[in-house]
Amino acid sequence: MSTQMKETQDQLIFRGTNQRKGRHASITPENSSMRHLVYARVILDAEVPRVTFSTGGLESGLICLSGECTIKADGQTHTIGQYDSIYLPRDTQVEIATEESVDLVECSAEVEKKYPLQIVRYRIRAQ
Amino acid sequence: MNITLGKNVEAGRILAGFTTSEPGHWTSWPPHEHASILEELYVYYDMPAPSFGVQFVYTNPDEPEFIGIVRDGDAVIMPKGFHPNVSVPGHPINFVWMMAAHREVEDRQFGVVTVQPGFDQAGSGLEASLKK
Repeated sequence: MSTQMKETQDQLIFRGTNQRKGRHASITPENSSMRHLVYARVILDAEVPRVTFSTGGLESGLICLSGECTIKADGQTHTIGQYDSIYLPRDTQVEIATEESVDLVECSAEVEKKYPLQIVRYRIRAQ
Repeated sequence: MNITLGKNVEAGRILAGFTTSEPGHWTSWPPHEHASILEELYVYYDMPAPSFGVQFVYTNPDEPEFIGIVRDGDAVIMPKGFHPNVSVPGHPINFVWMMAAHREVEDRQFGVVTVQPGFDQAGSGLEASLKK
C-alpha cells in the first residue's frame, strides 16, 4: 500500500517564522485555516529594543523562549525571563522592551470577555 | 511537557506550553486529536542546524494531510487530525504548542482527546493533566 499526501488547498507549514526582528504575525485566521488562533513572534535586541501594540479584541499569551524583557500593561510592569509566560487581556495597551535581547512566542485568539492579566513563572510551573 | 498557559490561567480560548523530546524519540504519542473542541499549531525552537524533526498531520494515516521535515523557526498548523512527530538521532525535537478553543471557555479543556484507534490501550498519556 502506498501512502500519498492528501490533496488539500490548505497550507499547513509556515517556514522561518523567527527571521524578523520586531513583532510579526505569521499565522492568522486570514492567511490559514485556523478559525481563531493567531501566532506571532516578538524578537527584540539592541537594534529593535521595544514594541508597542494594543491587543484589541484578542486575548494574548506570551511565552519567553530566551532572554529577558519588561512588559508594561494594564498599569503594571513585569519582568519575564526564559520560559516565563504572561497572559494579556483583550483591549490592553502593551509595551515590551528589552535591555539585551528577548525571543517571545505570542499566541492569541479573539474573545468576548476580558480576563485578568496573569503571570506564570517557569520555576513554579516546572513539571 | 510543560503547560504554561493551561488551567492555571483564567482565559477564554487559548492554551499553550512547550514540549522537548529525548534525542531520537517521538512526542505527541500516542497520536491524538481534538478537532471538535480545539485547533492547534506547533512552533519548533532550539533546533539548530543540522537538526530537524518530522511532523505528521493525518486523519487517515494512508492519506496524510501533511508529512514533512520541520526545522528551527518553522510552524505547522493542525486544524484537525492526529499530529505526532519524531526527532532525529542525536537531536531533540522541541516545540511550543498553542491551541484555541472553538467555543470560548466551554471548549477550553486540556487533555480531552481522541487517541488513534489501535494505540489507545494505555490511554492518552494526558490523564494526569485532566486533574490539574
